[in-house]
Amino acid sequence: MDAGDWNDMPPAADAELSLCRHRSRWFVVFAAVWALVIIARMSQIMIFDQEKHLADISRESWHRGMIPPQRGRILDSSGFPLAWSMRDIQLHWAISSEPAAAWRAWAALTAIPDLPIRLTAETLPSLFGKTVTVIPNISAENARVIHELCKAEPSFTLVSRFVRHQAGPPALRRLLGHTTQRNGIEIGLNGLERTHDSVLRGRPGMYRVMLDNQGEWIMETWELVQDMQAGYDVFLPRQTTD
Amino acid sequence: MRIFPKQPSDGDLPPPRLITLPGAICVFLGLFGCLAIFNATFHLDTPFLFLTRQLVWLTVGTAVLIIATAIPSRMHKTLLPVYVLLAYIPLILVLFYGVRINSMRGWFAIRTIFYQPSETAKPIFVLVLAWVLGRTQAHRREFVKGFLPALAVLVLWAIPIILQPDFGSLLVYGLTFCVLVLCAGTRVRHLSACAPVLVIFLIWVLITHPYVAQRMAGFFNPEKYPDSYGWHIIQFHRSLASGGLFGKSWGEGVWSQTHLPLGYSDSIFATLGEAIGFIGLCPFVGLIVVWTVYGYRRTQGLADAFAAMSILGLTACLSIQAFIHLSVNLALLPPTGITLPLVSYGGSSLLSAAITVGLVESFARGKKRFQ
Repeated sequence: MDAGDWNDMPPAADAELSLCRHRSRWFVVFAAVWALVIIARMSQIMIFDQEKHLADISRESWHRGMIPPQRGRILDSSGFPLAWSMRDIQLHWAISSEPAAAWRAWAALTAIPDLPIRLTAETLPSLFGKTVTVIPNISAENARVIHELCKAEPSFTLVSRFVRHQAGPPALRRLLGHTTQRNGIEIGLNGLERTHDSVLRGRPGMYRVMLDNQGEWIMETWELVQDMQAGYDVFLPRQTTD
Repeated sequence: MRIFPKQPSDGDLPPPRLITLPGAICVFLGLFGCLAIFNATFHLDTPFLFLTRQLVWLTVGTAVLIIATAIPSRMHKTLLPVYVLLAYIPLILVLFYGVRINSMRGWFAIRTIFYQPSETAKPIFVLVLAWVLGRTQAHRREFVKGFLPALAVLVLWAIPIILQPDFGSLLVYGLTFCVLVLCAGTRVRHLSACAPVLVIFLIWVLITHPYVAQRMAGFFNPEKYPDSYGWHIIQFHRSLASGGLFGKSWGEGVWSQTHLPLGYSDSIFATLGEAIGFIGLCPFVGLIVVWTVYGYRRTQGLADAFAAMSILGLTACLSIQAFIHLSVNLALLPPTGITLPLVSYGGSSLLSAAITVGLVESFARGKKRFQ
């Protein structure tokens, strides 16, 4: 078929086009109605039902967490610290029971230079399927590097908590007593730690952060809901030398 | 600024312009789309990847738009067999040599460039359909001589798309067909005679493609399947609700960036909703209606039935695709992979829209019957 045939289109008569016009007008009306339906639906979702959807977002995707308070110190009358808390960042490893996965994670860990790793390759097979503390007392610089490892290898977790330290002879330590961790907060179990617990404990803070569809934190959304208040120091009426 | 041009006097054809007002709006929308794509992807590891690719496609699309506008409508008609070969052969070849993405074999992959033939075949399908309807205009009231040839065109173009399978594109083709044959004067009862075949086809689709039934289940009851089939719909709701009346501004829409799948292409309307809010989205809806009215006004008074039908079909094709995208993003229709023309990420979709607008502008310069 040559080009002449293609172009040889019969011109439309008025009568034929009138029906076309009539129906094409209906198409325009249909498009306008569809647009109105879309606007109505948009207003329903974005304005009228907005609170409901935002409540769902808040309930399902905002993670609320506690910021543990730093426990107050116990000092003697001259200000010498007898008991105090220090933040300790540790690396925990939930070692896979599958050797291949465990060795892969081990290779990723040992690829980071100069880490004071507690484990050795020889002891690793005996720990398959267990959770162990791989590195205690991690410095802030190392924590940043290890954080990247944790993102790549989810079996590693950085755990931050307060550890209670005491000074002085054993008799004094018995007098000071002990603390324990309950829900991330240090609580006095006995001795002076228990007697002055309400003063030393402090008030935990609260934060909230949005989680993505993998359950990971979206760091840009982190916000403080309630500020943490550290515990007050307690001064004993005597000096340690007494 | 005049959106609906004054009709030229009888016999005077306006001189071709490099770019017309609709063409300029098209390019502007493409640039806005680049911004929207960057808004949806800037949090990724390669924040400029999608943006730069889309800018390249927009440059190509602008060139295609200018060329399609500049070519006279009569030459488009002459070149129609060439267009058909260029559009239909890739549709067949992609079934054998295409890559499978999301269980659909619909793309050619040349290194990092992906090309989807079913997108660029849309305007050519409309031209073929308009040509057939123009040729059979004298028999438009008859089933065999008037309706069946047009139906044959639909079936021929639908088969490779069903085999991919790309049911979203098929919906656009099917609805465009319905609009065009009805506006061409086909009896409604001829079209409704296809209903039983359509029902059988739908049953076949539901049986052979279980994910379609699952999406339907998720569409009708998303709360029942919040982690599977209803996930996408719930995220549409939440992204839009997160935007509210005025939106959260560019880059602040965390929800759509972290929860909404394909926020830069098939879900871009919801992503935009979170950024620019209800007030910002309304002009988009208005623009689709203006485009539809513009196409309708352009058909008026054209002497050539082929040109009139082409304009109507091309306008309908673009409007329908945009409306389906919006409806899917607003959970008025079940989820399906349809891009928002000119705005969504995707070179094939952008090229298709540019060709469509260019062809409309070219055909609209045709000879008028009356002033």
